[in-house]
Amino acid sequence: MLLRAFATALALVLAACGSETGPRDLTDDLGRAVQLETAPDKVVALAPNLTEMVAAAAGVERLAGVAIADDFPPEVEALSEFQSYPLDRERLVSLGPGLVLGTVGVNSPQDLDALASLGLPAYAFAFQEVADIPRALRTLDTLLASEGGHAAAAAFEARVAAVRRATATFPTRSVLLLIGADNGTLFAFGRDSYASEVVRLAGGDNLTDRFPGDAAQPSVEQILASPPEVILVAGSGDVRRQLVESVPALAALTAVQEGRVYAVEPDHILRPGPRTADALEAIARLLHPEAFAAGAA
Amino acid sequence: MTPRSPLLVGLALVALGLVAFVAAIFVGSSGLDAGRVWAALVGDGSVAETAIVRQIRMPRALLAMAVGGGLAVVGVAMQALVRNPLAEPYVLGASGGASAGAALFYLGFVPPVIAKTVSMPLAAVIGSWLALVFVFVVAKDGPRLSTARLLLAGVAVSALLGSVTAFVTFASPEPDKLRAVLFWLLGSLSGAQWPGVLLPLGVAMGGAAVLWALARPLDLLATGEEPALALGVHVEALKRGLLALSAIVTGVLVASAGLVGFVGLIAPHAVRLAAGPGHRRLVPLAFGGGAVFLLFADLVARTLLDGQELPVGVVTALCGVPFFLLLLRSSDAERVV
Repeated sequence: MLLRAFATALALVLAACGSETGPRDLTDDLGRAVQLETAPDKVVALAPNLTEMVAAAAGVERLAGVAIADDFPPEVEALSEFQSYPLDRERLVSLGPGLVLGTVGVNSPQDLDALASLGLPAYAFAFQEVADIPRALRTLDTLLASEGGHAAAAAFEARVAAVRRATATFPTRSVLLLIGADNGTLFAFGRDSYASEVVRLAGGDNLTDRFPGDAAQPSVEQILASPPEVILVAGSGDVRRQLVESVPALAALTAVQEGRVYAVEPDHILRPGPRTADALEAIARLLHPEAFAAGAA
Repeated sequence: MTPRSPLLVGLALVALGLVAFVAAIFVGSSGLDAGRVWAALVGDGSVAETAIVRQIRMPRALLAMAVGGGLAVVGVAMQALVRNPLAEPYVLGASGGASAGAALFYLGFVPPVIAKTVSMPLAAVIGSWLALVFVFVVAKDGPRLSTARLLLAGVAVSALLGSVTAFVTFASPEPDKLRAVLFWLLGSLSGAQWPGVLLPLGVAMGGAAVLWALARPLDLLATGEEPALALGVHVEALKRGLLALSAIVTGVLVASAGLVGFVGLIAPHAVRLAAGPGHRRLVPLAFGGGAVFLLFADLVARTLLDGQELPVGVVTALCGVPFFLLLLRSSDAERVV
């Protein structure tokens, strides 16, 4: 953490010292050395959350292209596409970016190193906690010599702080946050993930926090043994019905019977980025409607 | 079918190989026109064009040839070893063993020995060798190898190793590594880069050279173990050597391109039909046939879907499985040892 903060501070100092004049030696979140001659004109992001963050920090016009899955902001759908898995290096190089951005856990370090060996600098971002989102926005300003990242980061932090203030005085509610509810396997987040932290910031106690790491697959038995008050599903449609149809045993839960199974917009919670504040606010309202009653927030 | 002149077959393969290689260099997802590709080849291209042609397309085409040729040669070695036309590294579990070994290493369950570039192929070679030995032990029926047992043992070991790979994938907390394992399971040439292609290229060509040098004992072995023994072939040593060769070549190729199945079946058979079963001709022609086949398969994988790439293992399986079933139905396969 300290190291990361130091690296960011160093990057900012370097940026402030008129670094446009010479090459900058940076270290990304994987500890890889990245050398940038000047702020690149155009970049590509290998993961949808970074495409979104580049758009927020520097504008869509700085993107040389987008991966096939990228769809936000809507303007990116007009840009040239490339396949990010397996990475189509040829198409990517032909788009002519000066820098490639990747997300740890989504993009493989080998892909980034392979691009670097083609002479294309590649910078990896890790999103392990919620604070990594504003940090990445500010880092993007450094990389791209843009200014929007700082504003977006400050706005994000203000929204997080507002939610914390609103929910601070209420007792936490136990939550089960699932990724989708219609595939029979219960995919959830572990305690070391930013998504689980979103639940905690919203005044919840994520049941799968007993699992270390980023990902968790709780058993139906475990869930029945410590029933959540609220079930959140990153999905859309009638998630309560989807859940009961794919895992009928969960119909025994009070939360299911009393209808406290809610959908959370998947892109907001599954893509760490500016819109994660939307997910945080939505979850906080679902968990603590009393905190957001007229005038309360 | 009477074998045609092996010289004609060889020339045809060289011509097809040239066409495929040129296509692999000139066709790609960036849509560079032929003039720009040529400029990049002769050193007049932009930085991006040069990178695309020289550092992405070229190593990829070479890796396709190495993997295709090498797997075809392993197919020849295995078919000679068990005197059965259905033998092939993918079918007999050698590829599955290699991918499980590579995955175990990659996910940190097996410690690195020297450098990562050496350790991973080494783990794959050991995995491949263990899988093959296991399949052969199970299939051994007294002094004979039962075809049914061989194929079923291959299927069973492949399934077992598939679940080993799935287990280590599941147990790994890192999703980006999970993607890398998925790559081994599907087979793809998309990661080819200098100087990484040199090892598979060298091993595939070395394997072909060794097998070519063994052409005469292999021909004798094809007539049966007893006649071969009577004619002075060290049958046991030869068999062990073929097993080791198969494991080494399969392991190194799987470590660099993942599970690419059925090349070792298609190429040797097509060549045998056209040029006869003598190993002095079969080995180099099968190498060429496999190289050409995989170059074309990779072209299909790269261009079939607009803007997206299929894993090449999908293409070879789509071609190879019907071929395998045909062979299984034909009287050839009944000629059990």
